[in-house]
Amino acid sequence: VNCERFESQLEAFLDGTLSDVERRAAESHRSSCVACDALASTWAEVAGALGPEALAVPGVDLAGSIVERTSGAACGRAQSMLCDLVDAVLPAADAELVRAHVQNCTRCAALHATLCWLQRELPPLAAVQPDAQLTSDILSVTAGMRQRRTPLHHGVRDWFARLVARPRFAWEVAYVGTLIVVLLFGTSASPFRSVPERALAIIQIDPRDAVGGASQRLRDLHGGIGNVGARAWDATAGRALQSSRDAGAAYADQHPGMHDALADFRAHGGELRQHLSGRNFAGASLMLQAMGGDVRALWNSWTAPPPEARP
Amino acid sequence: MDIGPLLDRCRQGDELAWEALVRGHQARIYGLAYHYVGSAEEARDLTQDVFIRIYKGLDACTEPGHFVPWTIRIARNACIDHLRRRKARPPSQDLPVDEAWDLAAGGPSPEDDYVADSRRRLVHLALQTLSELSREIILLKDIQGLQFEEIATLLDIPIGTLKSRSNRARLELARKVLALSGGRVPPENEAGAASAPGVPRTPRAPREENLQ
Repeated sequence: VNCERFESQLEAFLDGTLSDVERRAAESHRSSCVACDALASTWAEVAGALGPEALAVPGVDLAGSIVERTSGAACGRAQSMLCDLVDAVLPAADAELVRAHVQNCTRCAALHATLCWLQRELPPLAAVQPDAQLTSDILSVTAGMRQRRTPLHHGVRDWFARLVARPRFAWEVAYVGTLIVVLLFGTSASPFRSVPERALAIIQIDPRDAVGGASQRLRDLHGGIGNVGARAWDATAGRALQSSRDAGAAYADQHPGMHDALADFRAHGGELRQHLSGRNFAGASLMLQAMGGDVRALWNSWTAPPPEARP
Repeated sequence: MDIGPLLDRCRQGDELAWEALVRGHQARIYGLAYHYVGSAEEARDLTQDVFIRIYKGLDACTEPGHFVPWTIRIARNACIDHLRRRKARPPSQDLPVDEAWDLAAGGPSPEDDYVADSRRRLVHLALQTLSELSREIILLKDIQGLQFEEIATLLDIPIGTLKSRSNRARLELARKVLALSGGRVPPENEAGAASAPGVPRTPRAPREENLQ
């Protein structure tokens, strides 16, 4: 028992309502502490002078009633700082005053204790364990969206690889290609209906007349833009074309199958052009089918690993 | 694994990382949804919906430190949308929460475990009696542990106002808890709290008015 504890038990001690153990501890402290002994003696004298009912009035109520009659009850101000006291963010002086009030005010003490209790009880409420099935349900729902999380070019490449690998790919190319060709060149309302005839007319022009007429006009233009055009071509498209040719050649060296597939594709493209010039759509359709096969061969040779990388 | 690398892996389409993320955060999302809607079944559906939104928006969360507030914001918006829809629904289609719970309960369910804890039940019930804003502040600040700045952004109120409202809300909650437990400070063990008077077993649905 220390002085503070002795003071809090003083009324009960003098009233004789302490337990034996508490009473012995209080007596022991009183005998060793001059100040507490004096306090107990004084209090006993006052109680004796005022009568037994004086002890029945708790000291805190007396202080409370004095405060209430003077400055007004301090509970409102104490409660406004209780949360900060619980959070330990209150300045030391304020904390000491609020703590002192809480020790002597039953209502604020209960609030303070409940706030401390809530501080322990609330954070664990953040996580409520759902049933075990929820995780798998979430994963199965989001699994369908996984493809979308892969980069776009990977998605396109995978889609095209699956498309090319289908056995009927060449037929589908022929079907779709023929449809497009007929729509573009074959019907009376086609926008390019007269293109093959015009191409034929161009081919049938006497080259000497064409060259003679055109060369004069070209000479006129050449002086003005010839040099600029040549420089622009060399700087942009010419360089890009050369680079792509070099890269293509280097890549084709690594993938020998591409040479053959590319040659076939070009040959079939030439035949397709001839069929279109002659308005032979059946032949064009067959060429489109062949070109579909060439596309698959090109893809396979392009995606195949280089010879040195193969096991 | 830290949340940063985990998020990176999720963005790259790593299923294992996504599973770990779901397992690590589902209880928090489910708990938040449960506190908002007051029904385990609806909280479960909402949790799925929230994780779908998180999955779709993973690229938007570039700062790992903002992941938890970001998920809470998504969950809150989903819950409020859900409550608005529920409020707009014709009354004849609504099931009372207690009845819905009874229908959903086929055995020991999470909410059984949750409500079986009488201290939590006491807090849950006291929370339901608070005003909507006070309850949301308690939910976000004291339960979910968000910072004042994050909550102020979420609720669109000044931070000074939020701090004073937070203190008032906590005091209000403490008074409700005291009132529900007969003026006594709730005990630390379950046995004492179970005998707290006036604490019914089934949680009530939160009020929906004033939800922004």
